[in-house]
Amino acid sequence: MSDWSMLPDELLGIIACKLDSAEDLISFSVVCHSWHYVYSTYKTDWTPKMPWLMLSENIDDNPDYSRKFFCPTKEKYYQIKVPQTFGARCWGSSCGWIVTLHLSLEMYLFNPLTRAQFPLPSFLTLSHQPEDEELDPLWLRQMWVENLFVFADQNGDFIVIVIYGCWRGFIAYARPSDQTWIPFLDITLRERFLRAQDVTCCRSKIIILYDQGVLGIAEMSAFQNSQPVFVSIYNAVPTKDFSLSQFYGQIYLLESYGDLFLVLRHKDLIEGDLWYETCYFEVHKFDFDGTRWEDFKDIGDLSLFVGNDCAMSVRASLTKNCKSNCIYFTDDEFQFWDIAKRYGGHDMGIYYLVNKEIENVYEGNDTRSTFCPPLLFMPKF
Amino acid sequence: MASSSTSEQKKKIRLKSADNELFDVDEDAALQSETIKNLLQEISGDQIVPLPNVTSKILAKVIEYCSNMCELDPIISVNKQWESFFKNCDQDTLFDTILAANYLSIKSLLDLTCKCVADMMKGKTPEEIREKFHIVNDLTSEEEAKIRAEISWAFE
Repeated sequence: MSDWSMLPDELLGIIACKLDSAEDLISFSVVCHSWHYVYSTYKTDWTPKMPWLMLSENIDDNPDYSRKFFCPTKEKYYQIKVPQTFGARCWGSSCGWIVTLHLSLEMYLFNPLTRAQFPLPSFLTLSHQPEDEELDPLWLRQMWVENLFVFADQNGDFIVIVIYGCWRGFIAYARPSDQTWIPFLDITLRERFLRAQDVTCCRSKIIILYDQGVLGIAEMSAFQNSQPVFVSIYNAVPTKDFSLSQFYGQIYLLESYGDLFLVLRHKDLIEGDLWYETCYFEVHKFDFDGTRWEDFKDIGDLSLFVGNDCAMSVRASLTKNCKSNCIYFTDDEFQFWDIAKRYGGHDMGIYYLVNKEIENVYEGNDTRSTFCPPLLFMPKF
Repeated sequence: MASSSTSEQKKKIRLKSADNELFDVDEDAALQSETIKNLLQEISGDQIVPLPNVTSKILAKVIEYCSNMCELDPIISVNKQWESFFKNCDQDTLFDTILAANYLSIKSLLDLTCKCVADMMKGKTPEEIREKFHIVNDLTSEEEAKIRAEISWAFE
């Protein structure tokens, strides 16, 4: 009889990394001593199939500081104790981390599965600081940071990039052990009054999207103890009506299996009612050779994830219950979360590119919040 | 396919299993194994390649797999057939094939067999996994409780 507990660690490690879900990996870890050791050694190599949805906090219903995490693959939710996220505005990422920004203006990287937490440099070390009249903690938590991104570099270390300044589009980065945020040398673009809008990591480069569709490209290796500069700048305009004056919504830059995509999320805004709602999406793919954007009506087997997080993608056919040729989106209209009638979190769903229909992604309650509605993140160990 | 030559022209490699059985294998099939490829560089081409870690029963299966992978059928359908084979074979065969694929350094076979094992654990509790793979739990109840407490959400 073969003794599975005696299989060499590296082979058990390969098996562990092929397990279907986070839950399976955890079951694996409790089987016996040698399997637990293998779990501890190889867990960071395990790759999730699809992002999870972290739902809104509700302290009245959960005095133990737990909140729901919905796993679309298993169509099941987990109640996880995460006091580290309570009271914080949060952003999801593709590398297991959730970035938290607290009312104290402290920022952390936090992993809800392992509960690992690392402090990020103080808010006060960002080179641009709020004006005196902006110094209200509630306002700063809500408005000062526009977006936060976490990327893993080739050594498996993490780079956090922040776009901040309440629509001034400043950009800086830090690594978890850094003492200060390091600004990005984007003076050539700022002289053209271009603000940073979104960031992605593609082909070992950090790519930053500015106003008017301008792309600034920097080497990932420059994001260590130095102020990164652009190695190239592309001025390709994706569509005729790209300028923000003719478009209300959100623009996302997204890497998917080596390709660079731009996703335009068109929203209806009824300003009198402070009401907003996603109507449709457009997808464009960047042609690095011709340095231009191509309209993309069909993304085939891909499904994209955008909103209150780093944009991500997965191949739907590899994942149970993952819809293909569609975009999963969460509510990122953060300036209206505390005043809109239905609060943040109502504008969430799955958009099908083929028939342009929108479907619910999660049926339960606990989707609404004035400061931290649901977000997508990849569950990693 | 690059190798469009007929079978008469194909070069054969002679392999010897742990239990001294000889196998004549098409070179392109044998070269799927990085280990065999390296061994062939060390010995002259006409010599027998000894594989003391693989029994004839498993080696026969591995050769069949490697030959299939060199055939003209789309790799996907070949893979599907083998996936179904490993899903239904006995655990000893699966276990020994994993060891053989690792020793012979045939990555696709190692990935496939490891995936089959991973799939056998899908949705199972630790108790069910132990039962399925006949593993004795050597964790004390305190150790197990401690591990479970760290990740209690998964067991609720």
